[in-house]
This record gives sequence, C-alpha cells and structure tokens, in this order.
Amino acid sequence: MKRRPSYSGREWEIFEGHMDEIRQETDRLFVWLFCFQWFTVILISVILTPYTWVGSESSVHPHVYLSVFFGGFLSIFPIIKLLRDPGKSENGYIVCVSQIIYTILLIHITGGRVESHFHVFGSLTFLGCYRNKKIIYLGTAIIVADHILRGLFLPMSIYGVPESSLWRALEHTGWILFLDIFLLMAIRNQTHLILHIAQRENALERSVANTEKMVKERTIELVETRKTILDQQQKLLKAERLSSLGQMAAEIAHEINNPMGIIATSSYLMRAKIEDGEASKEELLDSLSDIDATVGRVSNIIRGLKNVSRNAADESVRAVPMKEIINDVVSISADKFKAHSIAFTYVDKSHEVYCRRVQISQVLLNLVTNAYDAVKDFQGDRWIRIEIKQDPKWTHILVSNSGPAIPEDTKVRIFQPFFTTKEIGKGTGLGLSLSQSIVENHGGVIELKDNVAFTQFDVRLPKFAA
Amino acid sequence: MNTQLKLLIFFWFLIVIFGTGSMFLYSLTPGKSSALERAPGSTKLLENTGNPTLLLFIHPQCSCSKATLKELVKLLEERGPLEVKIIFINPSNVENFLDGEIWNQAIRIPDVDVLVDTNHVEAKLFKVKTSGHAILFDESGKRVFSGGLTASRGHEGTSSGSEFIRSWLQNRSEKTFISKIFGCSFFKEE
Repeated sequence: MKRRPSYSGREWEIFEGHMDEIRQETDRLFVWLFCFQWFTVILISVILTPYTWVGSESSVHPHVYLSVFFGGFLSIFPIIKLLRDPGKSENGYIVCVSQIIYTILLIHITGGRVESHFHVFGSLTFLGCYRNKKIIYLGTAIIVADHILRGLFLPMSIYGVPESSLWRALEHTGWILFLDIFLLMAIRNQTHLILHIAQRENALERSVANTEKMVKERTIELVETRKTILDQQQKLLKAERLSSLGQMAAEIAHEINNPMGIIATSSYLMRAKIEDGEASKEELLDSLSDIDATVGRVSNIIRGLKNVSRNAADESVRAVPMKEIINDVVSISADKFKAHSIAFTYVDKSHEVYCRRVQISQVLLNLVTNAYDAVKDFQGDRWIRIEIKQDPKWTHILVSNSGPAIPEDTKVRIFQPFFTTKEIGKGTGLGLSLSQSIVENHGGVIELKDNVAFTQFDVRLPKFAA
Repeated sequence: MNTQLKLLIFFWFLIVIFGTGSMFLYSLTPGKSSALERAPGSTKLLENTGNPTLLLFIHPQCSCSKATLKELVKLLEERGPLEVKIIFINPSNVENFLDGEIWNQAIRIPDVDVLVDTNHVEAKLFKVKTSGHAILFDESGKRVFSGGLTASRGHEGTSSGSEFIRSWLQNRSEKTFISKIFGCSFFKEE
C-alpha cells in the first residue's frame, strides 16, 4: 500500500506561502473579472432591453437598473474586499457566492439564452484557480441548491415548466458534477505538485544553510591558517633580517670603524697641535669639520640600519616618498659601493608609494645587497641603478646592476625559498622568497626582467592603496 | 476574521439573497389578462378556413416579446393545419412605432400573417392587455387556449402555454388552458 508522504512544519510553511501567492494572484484576477462582468451585464441589458413599454410610453427597463445596482452590488463589495485584504482565505468564498449569483443575473438579463448558461462552467473553472476544493464544493452547493429549490418551488423560473421536476434538477447537477470531477482532480494534482515543490525548496534551503555553515567554518579555518602563515612569515622575515644584519654587521663595523679612525686621528692631531702650541684656529676648525662630516656619515649609517631593521609587524600602509626608502638603503651601503668602485645611481622624480616603509626598505636592501654581491667582483663596469617609473596603475621600482647574466636554471628557481647561489653561511636563500611575499602582500608583483641587456628586478606596487 | 467583517459579509449575503429573490419576483410577475370563451363576432381576424387559428398580440417595442416570437417559431416547427396571425398593436399618435427588431423578426417567420392593429381596435375586442398574449381558437371559434408562450418575463425555453398548444394540436382534447402572460402593457392603467 502506498503511504502518503509526511511533511515537516517548514514544508507546510513554504506550501502555505505558495498558496498565499496563488490566492493573491487569483484575487487580482477576480477584481478584473468583476469589473468586466459588471460592465458586460450593463451593456447587455442596455442593448437587449433598454426600455419597458406601456402602450406608446416607455421607461428605462428594470433590467438596466438591475444590472447597474444589483450587478454593482455583486461586484463592488468583493472588489473592495479583494483589494483591501488580498490573499485572505475567506475571499474565495465571497467571490464564489458573488460569481454564481452573477451567472443567475446573466441568464436572467439575456432572457435565458442557452449560451449564457455556459457562464456557470466558466465561473467554476475560474474559481478552481484558488486551488481550494472547499470553494468548488460551495459553488456547486449553491448551484445545486438553486436548481433544487427553484425546481421545487419556482420551476417556471428555472426550467420553464410549471411542474416541479427533481430529475431535471439532478440532470443539471450531474453536468456540474461532471465538471467538478476534472476541477477537483486538477486541484488535487496541483496541490500535490506545490507540496512537492515545497519539499524541494525546503531541501534546497537546508542544503544552502549547510553550505553557508561549511563556508563559515572553512573561512574561519582559512583566516586562522592565514594568520599562522603570516606569523611564520614574520618570523622568517625576522630571521632573514637578523641573518642579513649578521652578515652586514662585519661590513658595517668596518664601515663605522673607518670613520671612527678618521675621528680618532683628527682628534689625536688636534690634541698634539694644541699641546705643541702649533694649532692655528683654521687648522682646528678644519679638523672639527672633518669630525662633524664623519660623525654625520656614521649617523646616516646607523639611521639607515635602524630603519631597515625595525620590527615591521604592525606597520600600516601609508604614502612614503621613495627618496626616503632609497636613502635608508643607500646610507647602509654607500661606503661598500665606494670601496668596490661601484657606481650607484638613483633616478627619481619625487614619487610617493603606498607601502609599509620598513618592509619595502627590506625588499630594496635585499635587492641592492644581491646586486652588490653580483657586481663587487665583476671584471667589467660596476654599477647599480635604482629607477622609479609610474604608469596609470603601478609604481615600478627597477633595481638593475651590471653583474654577470643570471643562468636560466637559476632564473626559474630564484624566488624559491632556501634557494641561494651564495656560499654557505653567506645567504639563507630566503631573501627573494620573502621579498616576493612582502610585495604580494602589498598587492604587487616582483619579477626578474628578461627583456633587458642587464640584470633587472622590477618591483611593481599598486599606485593607490587598496 | 473579526466579528465586524463577519457581520458585513452576512449582511452582504442577505442583500444578495434579497436581490436574487427580487429578480425572480419581477421575472415571474405576469401582465394583466382576461380570456374570452369565444371569438368576438365583430373581429376581422378569424376567417372560416376550417382550421384552428392562433392569434398572437405583440407590442412592437416590447423586448420580452422577442422570446415569445422565438417560442412561436419552435411551436410552428410541427404545427399541422393551423392559421397563425401576429397582430402588432400600433397607436396612431406615434411615428415609426412598428420599426424595429421585433417586426423584422415576425415578418421572417414563414406562413404567418403579420397584421397591424391601429389604435388597438382588435386588441380591445379580444380584451388583450399584454404583449405576448396568444389565443388559440378551434375551427368553430371556441377558445381553447389563452395566455403566454414564455415561462417568465422575456425568458426563452419551454412553457406550459406552448406545451399545451403543441399537445392540443396533436391530440385535440376537450381541455382548455389559460396561462400567465409576460410582456409590456398595451394600455395605460385607467
């Protein structure tokens, strides 16, 4: 035996929602139908029975009044109700009563034309639009009651014969029931269909809810993973920075040692000349100028070192003049460039770039240090160049050097973590890899250019902050 | 649904019932009629043809009588020997009173005499007062039937009157029958 499916509360809720839409739609249909029917019965009565006569004197036919007032009454109350409370369950019953009485009115004013009896079939079919069996039962009950009661008490008004005829009433009822069978079957099928749709929608809703929940969970996981990756990246960055600083320490100590030697020598000479009483004012001032200049150089080196080695984890994106970033890097590296006769040029047009200053300084220091390593022992022209260019979307920081060409197999691995061509202990292999992460976190791109005659890295940063 | 709305719907329903009842009441209210036992001697409408005669008095503007003429056509489909005369009343004080759909409808009925009764002369002789009044006389001039051919005002369909005439023409029983007439009045109430 086939079991009827059971439906959940939510499925009934969705079903009721669809039924409410159907009721509202049908209410709107009947508003127009009542307007049309009212107009039509008035038109028919005016055409067919405009006047009633007594001899040669005429007056407006009662059918015209009937159509205007009774037809209006049958139309206006349901129209107001349907417009005021669309979709209410009682509307269908009011419409049903009105519609069946309209059939009686139409048959009456058309003088009982057989064709106007078809109105009742049309009306029942229209009422079927409510998809409510009870409305069809009510409509049928009114029609049957009308036929039986008038058939018994006013047979002339309905069958045109003075004798009451139950058989005739049953015959008319039979035709109505014949139509009802199809209407009720259609209503049952459509109700099942709507219930089925409600089931599907409920399943879909649950599926969407599950997916949304899953997406939320995955998003949280992703956020946590990203946070972990960023933390790891920061740690790596720090490690790389410390490593780089470690490597630089010796060079920087040397860089600082030289000026310190100059300062020490100058102060020794000044002291000796003062003790010997040979010191002229001009000589002392010259020595002091040398000391000042040398202290300035040391300060620059220390400031650059400080800017580059700062902990940049919480640094925010802001507009930074490129010149300041370049100065940080150059201040650290200027002396070693000089020591190896490396020509350093910087082409700038006072550009600003939206970035985290320390992070981009570290990227640039990385590239410049790599460039320095590449050219310091090169037997040809030794130069390093930083060039800033802008297009409508990007700011390009181009770091070029005259060093030997990078082999093809190195090019493809150059940004891989822990890949290095330097001697053991000189490089971690994380410099370019971390530089790439930093640039990508800025929404930019770092790449090794292929289409130039020398080695060139292009750091592309968005021109405007996201 | 609140009580106020329920009451409103209830009153609306009562008025619908009342309106429908009034409609039926109007529909079933017959016109005035009287029935002579024999044809008046002074009438020019009955000729001694040896056949029964059916006289049908019509108001040319009465829209209810359209249904009467349609019922007459159905009745005549199997009439046998029967003289049929449609008499249109025609007051002399109104121009073009006969023009209209009903006149055209009548003159298209085959084997029927369509006559005009100016100033209601014949109508008064036969004491008919309502449009659609049919009177059937047998060969001897005895009135067999007097009444309307429709069951209600302007309503097509079988009626007791047309059923009786049909039956009488077939069986020639001794019975006579009087039915109600639905149509416009020929005269103003005195």
